[in-house]
Amino acid sequence: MFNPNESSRSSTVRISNNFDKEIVLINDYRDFDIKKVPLYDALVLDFTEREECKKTLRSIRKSNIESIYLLPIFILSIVDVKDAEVKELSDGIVQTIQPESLSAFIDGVKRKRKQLKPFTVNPEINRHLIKTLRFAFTRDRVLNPIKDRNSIIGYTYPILSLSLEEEQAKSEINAIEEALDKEFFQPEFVDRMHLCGNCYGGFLNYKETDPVSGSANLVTESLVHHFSCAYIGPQSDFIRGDQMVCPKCNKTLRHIGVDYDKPSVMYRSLDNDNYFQEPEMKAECMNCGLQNEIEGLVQYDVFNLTLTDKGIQEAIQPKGSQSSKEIVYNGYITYSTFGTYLKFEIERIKTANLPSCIGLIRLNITSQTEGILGARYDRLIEEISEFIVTNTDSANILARSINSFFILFPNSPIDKSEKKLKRLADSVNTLLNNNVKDVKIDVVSNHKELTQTSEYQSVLNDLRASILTS
Amino acid sequence: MLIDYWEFFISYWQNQSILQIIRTFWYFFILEVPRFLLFDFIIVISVLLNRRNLKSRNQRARKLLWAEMPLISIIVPGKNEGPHLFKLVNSLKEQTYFNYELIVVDDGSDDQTPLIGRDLERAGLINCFIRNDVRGGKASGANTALRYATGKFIVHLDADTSFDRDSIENILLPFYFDDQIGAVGGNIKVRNAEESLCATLQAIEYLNTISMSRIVSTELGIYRIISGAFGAFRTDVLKRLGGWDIGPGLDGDITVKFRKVGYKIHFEPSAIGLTNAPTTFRVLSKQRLRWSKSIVRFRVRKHSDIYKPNRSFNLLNFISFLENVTYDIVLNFLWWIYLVDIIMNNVGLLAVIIPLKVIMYMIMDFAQFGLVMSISERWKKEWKLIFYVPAMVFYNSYYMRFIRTMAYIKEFFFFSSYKDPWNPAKTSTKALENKF
Repeated sequence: MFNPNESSRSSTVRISNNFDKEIVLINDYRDFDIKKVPLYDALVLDFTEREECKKTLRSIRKSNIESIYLLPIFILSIVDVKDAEVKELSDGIVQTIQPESLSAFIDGVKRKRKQLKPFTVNPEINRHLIKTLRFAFTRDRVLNPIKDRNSIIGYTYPILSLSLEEEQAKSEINAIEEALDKEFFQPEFVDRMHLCGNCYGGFLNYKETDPVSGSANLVTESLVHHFSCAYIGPQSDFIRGDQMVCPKCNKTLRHIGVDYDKPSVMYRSLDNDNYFQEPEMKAECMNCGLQNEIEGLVQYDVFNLTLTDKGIQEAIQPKGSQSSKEIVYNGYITYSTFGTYLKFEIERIKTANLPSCIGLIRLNITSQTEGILGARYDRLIEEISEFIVTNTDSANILARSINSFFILFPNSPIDKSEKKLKRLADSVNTLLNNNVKDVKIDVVSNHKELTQTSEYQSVLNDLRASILTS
Repeated sequence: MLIDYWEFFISYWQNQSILQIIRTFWYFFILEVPRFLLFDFIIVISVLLNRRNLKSRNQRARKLLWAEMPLISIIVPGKNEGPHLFKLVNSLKEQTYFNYELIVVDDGSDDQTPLIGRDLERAGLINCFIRNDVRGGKASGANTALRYATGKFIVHLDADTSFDRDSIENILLPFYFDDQIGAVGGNIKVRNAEESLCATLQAIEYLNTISMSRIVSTELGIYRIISGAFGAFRTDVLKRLGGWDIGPGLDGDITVKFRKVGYKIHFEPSAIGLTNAPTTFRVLSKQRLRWSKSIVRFRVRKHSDIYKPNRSFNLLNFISFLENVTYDIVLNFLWWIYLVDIIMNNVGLLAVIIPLKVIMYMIMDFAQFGLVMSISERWKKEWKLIFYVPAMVFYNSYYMRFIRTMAYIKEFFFFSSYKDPWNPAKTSTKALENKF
C-alpha cells in the first residue's frame, strides 16, 4: 500500500504494484506533461492542490486522443470531495492508493478499449458524442448532469462539454438530443429547464414589464372602490396619514366589505407613467440579452443517461465510419481506405525499410466562422481541396475529412516531406488570406514519420490530436 | 251601423263650439300641444332659418378642433359587454377623429369579456383594459376609467353603440362653440327598428320625443340629460366633480352636476350613435321603470336644492328641473285626473270623445314626425317608420304613462330604485344611507 504522505518531492511518482501497471501519482502539477499520459495505465491526482488537480483532470478529459481521455484517473483526497465535476470526470475518489483495488478497474477499461474500433470523422459522426459514448462505455458509467453556474444552460455533462468549445450550450443540447433520438441512452428525468430561444442560455431573469415601453420599473397598487360615492382609484388616492379617506366625498373608510372593497390591482410604469393590469412576462437572457417571450423559451429536459445496447454498439463501432456512408471527394480516397493504405505502408516499411511520412493540413474553421462565410464556405473548401490535389505528386495519397487533408508521402524522407507539406500549407494560407478578408482562418499542419513500430490508428489519432492541441 | 255612428260623430263635433272642444280636451290643447308641437315647430323653423349661421359656427369650431387636435379618452364601462367590443373598436377605427385613447372597464363580467378585452388590448385595439373582479356598478366602472383617462375630453359610450364616421368629431365641436360648454350629448337613434314592433315604436319615440325634445331643450338652454350611450365631457370638470355617482339614472345626475357648477350642456344632433333598443315590452318596461324612478330620485330628492332660492340659485336650472318634473311627474298624475274628469262628465259620450282624442294625438304625432324628418340626416331611411306613427298614441299616451305612474309610486313610497339589481346591493345600501 502506498501512503501519499510518504511521497517524494518529484512531480510524478510511480506507484509500485504487483500487477505490472504504470500507475502514477501526480502531486506537483508544474511539470505535468500531457503527452506522457498515454504511457500510463492510470493516474492518481493529488487533490491537495485542488485547482491544479482539477485543471489537469480537465485537460486530460478534454483531449480528443483516446489514449489520453480514456485513461483511468483517480483522485487522491483524504477529505470528502464535493466538486461534482471532479467526481464526474474522475474514476473515483480514493483516500489511500491501493493498487490491487484500482487494478480491476484499469483492466476493465483496457478490455473495453480493446473493443473500440477505429472510425472516420465525417459529417455523419458527431465525434464529441462518440467520445462521450466511449467514455461511458469503457467505465460502465451513467452520465449524470451536474449543476454548473459556468455553463449557460445551468447543467452540464462534464465529459461532453469539455470537448465542445464555441457555442457549447447549443452543441451540447444537439449532441444529447441526437443521442436520445438514436436511442444511444436510456434517459432518466432529472430536471426541466427553460432556455433562451437564441443562445440556449439558462440564466434567465424573469420579469414583469410594461407592454408599451418594455420597462421593468413597475409598481403595483390595489384599486379601492368606495361604495357610498362610487369613487374608485388606487389606494394612494385614499391615504391620508394613517387613515383612508375618500378623495371625492371626504368620508373615512373603516371597514372593507362594508365601506369599500378592492376590486383589482393596477400596475404603473415609473418610467412613463403608463397604467395597465396585465404586464408582459419577459425572460431576459443574461447571456445574450434577448428579451424572450415566455412562449419563446426552449424547454429542455435534463436526464441521467445510461448507455443502451445501441449506444454500446455505436461506441464500439460508430455507424458513420462504415464505408457506405463515407463521403468521397474528387481526387481523394476515403478516410477508411486511407487508413488501410497507411496500414499497408507501415507493413511495407517493416519489410522494405523505406522512409515514409504522413502529413496533415487542417483549416481551423469554427462553426462561428462557418456561419459568417455562409454559402462561400463550401466553395472555399472545394477550391482548397482542388488546390491540394493539383499541387501534390501523383504518388502521394490523399484523404479528406471535412476540413482536414491527410497526405501520405510514400518513399519520401521526412525532411523532404516536411518541406513539401510546409510549402503546401503556406500556399493554402496565402490563398485564404487573398480570398477571405472578413474572417481569419488559421491553417495548421503537422507531419509524422512512419516507422516499423508505428500503429496506423495511433498514428492517425496522434496526428489529429497534435493539430487540435497546437 | 258604422255609417250611423260616423254621422253622429260628425254632427256631434260640428255642434260643439271651439271652447267646448277645448274644455273637453283641455289637457291636450293647454298642456301638450304647446310643449310638444308648438315649441318643436318654432325651434325647427328657427334651426332651418339659422342653418347658415349654424354651419359657419360648426366650421369655425371644426377648424379650432383640428388646430388643437386634443387627445380624448373614450371610456366604455360595462358588464358582459365582450361580444360587442370588437364591433365597437372597428366602429371607432373608422372615425374621422383619431387622436383618442380607448379605455374599457370590465365591471365584474362573468362571461368571456375579460378574455376578449385582453386580446383586443394585446392587439393594440384597446389602449387600456381594466378588469374589476368584483362588480361595483356602472358608476364605479365609469369612475375607474375616468381615474386613468389622460385626454382633454371624455367620451362615454355604451359598448353596443355604433357611430357614424364623423360622430366623435361632431360631438367635440360644441366645446369649441363656447368655453362654458362642459358636456355634450350625442344623438342616439335605434339601430334595430326592424326587429320587432316594440323596437319600431321606440325608434319613432327616439326621433319624435327624445331627439326632438333635446333639440328644443338645448336651444332653450334647459337640456338636462346626456345619454350614457354617447356623451362627451370636459375631463377637468368631470374629475373636479368626482365623476359619476351611484345610479340608476347616473347620466342625468352627472348632467345636473355640470349645470350646478355653472357649465352649459349642449345636445349635438349631428353626433349620431346607433343603439339596440329592447325588442320586447317586458324588457322595455323594466328599462323605463328604472329611467322614471331616477327622475324622482335625482330631480326631486337628491338635487332638491335647485328649487331653493339660495345663493347658488340658477334660473335656467330651476326652469329645466321644473319643466322636467312638471311634464314628467305632475302632468302624468294630472292626466289620470283628466281621464277621470272625462269619464265623470261625459260618461255617455266616451264613444265620440275617445276616437277624436286618438285622432288628435295621431295628428300631433304625424306633425312631430314631419318636423323631425325635415331636419334628419337619414330621413330617406327613417320615413318608412311613418306607417307605425298611428300606434304611437297608444304607446305614449297609455303604455308609457302607465309605466311612469308605476315607477313614480314605487319610488316615492318605496324607494324602489335602491333595490334595483342594476346596481350591486352593497352600493345601493350605502347610497340610501347617505342620501345619494
